[in-house]
Amino acid sequence: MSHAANINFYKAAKPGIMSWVYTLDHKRIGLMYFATTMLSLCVGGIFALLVRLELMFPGQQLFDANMYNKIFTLHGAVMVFWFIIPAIPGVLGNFFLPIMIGAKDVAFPRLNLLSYYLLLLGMAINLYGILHGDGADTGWTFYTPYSIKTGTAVVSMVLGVFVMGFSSILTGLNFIATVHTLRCPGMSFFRMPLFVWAIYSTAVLQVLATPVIGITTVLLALERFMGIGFFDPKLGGDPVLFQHFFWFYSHPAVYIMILPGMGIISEVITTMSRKTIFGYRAIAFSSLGLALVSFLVWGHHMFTSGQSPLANYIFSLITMATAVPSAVKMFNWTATLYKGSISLKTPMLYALGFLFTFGIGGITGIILGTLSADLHFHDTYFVVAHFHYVMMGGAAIALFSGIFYWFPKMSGKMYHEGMGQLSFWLFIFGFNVTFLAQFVAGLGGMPRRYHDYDPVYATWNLISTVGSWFIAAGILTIIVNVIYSMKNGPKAPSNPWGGKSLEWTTESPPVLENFAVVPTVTAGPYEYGVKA
Amino acid sequence: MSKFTLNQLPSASASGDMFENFINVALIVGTVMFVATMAVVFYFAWKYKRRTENDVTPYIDGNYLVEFSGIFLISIWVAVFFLWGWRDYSYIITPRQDEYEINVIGQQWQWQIQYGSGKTYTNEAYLPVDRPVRFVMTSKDVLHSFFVPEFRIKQDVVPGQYTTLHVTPNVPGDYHIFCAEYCGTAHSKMLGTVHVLSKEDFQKWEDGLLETKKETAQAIEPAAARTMTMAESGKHIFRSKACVTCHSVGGERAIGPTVRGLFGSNVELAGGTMVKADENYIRESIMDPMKKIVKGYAPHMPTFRGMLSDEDVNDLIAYFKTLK
Repeated sequence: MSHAANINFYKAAKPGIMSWVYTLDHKRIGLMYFATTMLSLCVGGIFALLVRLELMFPGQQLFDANMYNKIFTLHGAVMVFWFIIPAIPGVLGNFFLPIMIGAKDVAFPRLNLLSYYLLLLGMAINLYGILHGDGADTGWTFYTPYSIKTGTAVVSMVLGVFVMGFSSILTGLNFIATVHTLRCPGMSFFRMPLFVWAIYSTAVLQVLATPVIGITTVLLALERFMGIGFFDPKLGGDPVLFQHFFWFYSHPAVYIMILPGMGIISEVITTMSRKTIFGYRAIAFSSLGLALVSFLVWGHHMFTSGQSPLANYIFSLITMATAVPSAVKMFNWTATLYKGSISLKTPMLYALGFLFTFGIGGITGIILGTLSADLHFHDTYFVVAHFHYVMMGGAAIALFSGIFYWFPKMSGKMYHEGMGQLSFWLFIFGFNVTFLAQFVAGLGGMPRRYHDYDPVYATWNLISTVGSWFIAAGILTIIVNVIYSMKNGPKAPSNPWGGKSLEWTTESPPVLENFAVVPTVTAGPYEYGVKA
Repeated sequence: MSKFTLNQLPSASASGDMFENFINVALIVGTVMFVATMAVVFYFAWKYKRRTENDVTPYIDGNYLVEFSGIFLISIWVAVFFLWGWRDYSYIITPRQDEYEINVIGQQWQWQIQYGSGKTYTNEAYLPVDRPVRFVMTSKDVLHSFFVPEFRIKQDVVPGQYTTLHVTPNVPGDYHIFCAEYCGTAHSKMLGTVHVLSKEDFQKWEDGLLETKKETAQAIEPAAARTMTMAESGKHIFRSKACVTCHSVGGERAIGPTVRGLFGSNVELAGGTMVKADENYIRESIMDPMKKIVKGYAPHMPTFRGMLSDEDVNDLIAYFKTLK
């Protein structure tokens, strides 16, 4: 392997599937996550299209209520557990975190491969429940007592979640160890790219929060199998307790989803404005701050659950506080654009789109955190629209930005710019049509998880369904672009964007151990422009 | 009562009006903040478009004034919304004098609405306009949520405990009941109608003189009205289930505490803590009597789980409320 230093990592192993199956290279693992999570996005997306087809008009279109209930449950469960939680850390975190800090790989490469296989195993367990059993019809939130009583394959679904949880925990553990121990000479914490800060904050959440969903799924499985009355009131249990357990993880989980995306936006906006980031420390600390505060707000999912008014007041107050670090980031990204040299190529389009859609998502979050307003909005399409704006218009759009931004580095080819721009406009148009209409339906009180609805909501549902077809077209265009360009794209230079973080000093694609010589860093990652 | 609203279902309650006041302001503030931010973003993206590959940008790594102004602005915004929400919410949950009480039992997939008079309806509620109403609610099976979009409020309905919803309707009319917590197959069919009646019509309804069959999408004939009020039924259960063996109705101490004056009083427990004898306390005492032992009494009471239905417990509570 002595001349491996000069060969890109694809060529540094014997060709064939075994070079992937047994790889310890974080870059190959990142690419395997890429293929898997994009497939998951398609599966979850097909379920979404089916949901929207059923809801296109009042009355039953394609599916009876039981089938519809399974479809919306699987849409949520697949999107959350197979796609959005693993994607950015698994794909871009794996590929770029070590390179960005000047390391050859993560701290525990075997553990990294295990994380990937645990994701596959969890997905396989879910698939068993879907194909061999009859899936689940509980909603992705599995609330008790219904999830105890229903005859669907709840245990397969939650057991899969349990296994996938370990994928997440081990990835987080690996990344924390990597950041603490493998930074190259000169790479102080405050010279790390903000993407690394974001992944690090996410890793803290992955390690601390995920065990809670693990134990919650175990308790639910025990109650289904053995009738131990944690949650069933007829056995002396408390159904609302499940909600506390579930959301104690699932609220930090939404920060696991969004923080890495925010890290990508920091990278793309800075590099493609060729201007140093405004407020580096504010953004870095706001990532950590959001991660920690995210543990204190879970009850805002439960304002109407029957929990005490005091709990409601406290959760509403702390929820409002989380708006501040997020707003700081939005202001700082905007301020970074000021007097920049802005390139409006595809990655930047998606990043600017993020500012638009995450802005709407965040503002509607402040409205939902207002206690009295949530008494109306809870469990309506207003909430559904809000979380799609922050999850899809936040994390997913940032993922797309990152995919195009780092595509040249990962593949050694340039993506097709025209197709990239087309995908952006299809996606952003479709996304806003789909979900703005849902805000209106929710304002009018349309409840969520409804197989059929009152005709007063018909217009908004029709509009939303048509919008979903444009989203599908946009995502399809992304996938076609990726596959086409990997084969036929022109060769990419090592630094197509003029970036200043360490990944742009390597080859495109990088050599096996990322750097021919371990770098020594003497400045931060965003030293554009003239220091005053 | 017609104000501008994007909401196609008009507000019909005091809490609904409070919601409308808030949401109109919130949507305007949100839109203004959003449009302002996006205008700046688009302007910068246009004005600072790359000119040459050798553009030099200024090194602006931060500005404390801008940063703290932003933080200050956001903090004011969320503080105002928080306080507004707190104020409206406290108003909504505060019980009022002379509330008209209605019991609701949610079950897969219908709403049983019980009145003190003993009348029970399926999926139909009758409320007097301009009078505070208190729904005392529970579920027979899984979680549901009682939601009237025109009132702009909802409350989850939980098996094994009571939750309450306070509302003062202020516009007569027929409004939707939706179930707003996913509960299985017919979740979206668990619908009903709230009839808010003028004082005159409500009096007629109470006297049984109002035509109750309505041509609504989900109209269902009211179930046969019982001949006993809830309190009378509760009194009957108290004797037939032999509660009177250990609990007096006249105030005397017996094997167990008296039920006269119990409801709403403060009870001292064995450890010294005080609890309020509300609906949840009564229900728990019947189903899980070992959970709270009253000071000075021995733990003898058996559970009545499986022997008393949710309706029976509602009736007993109604009876206790008459024993002042």
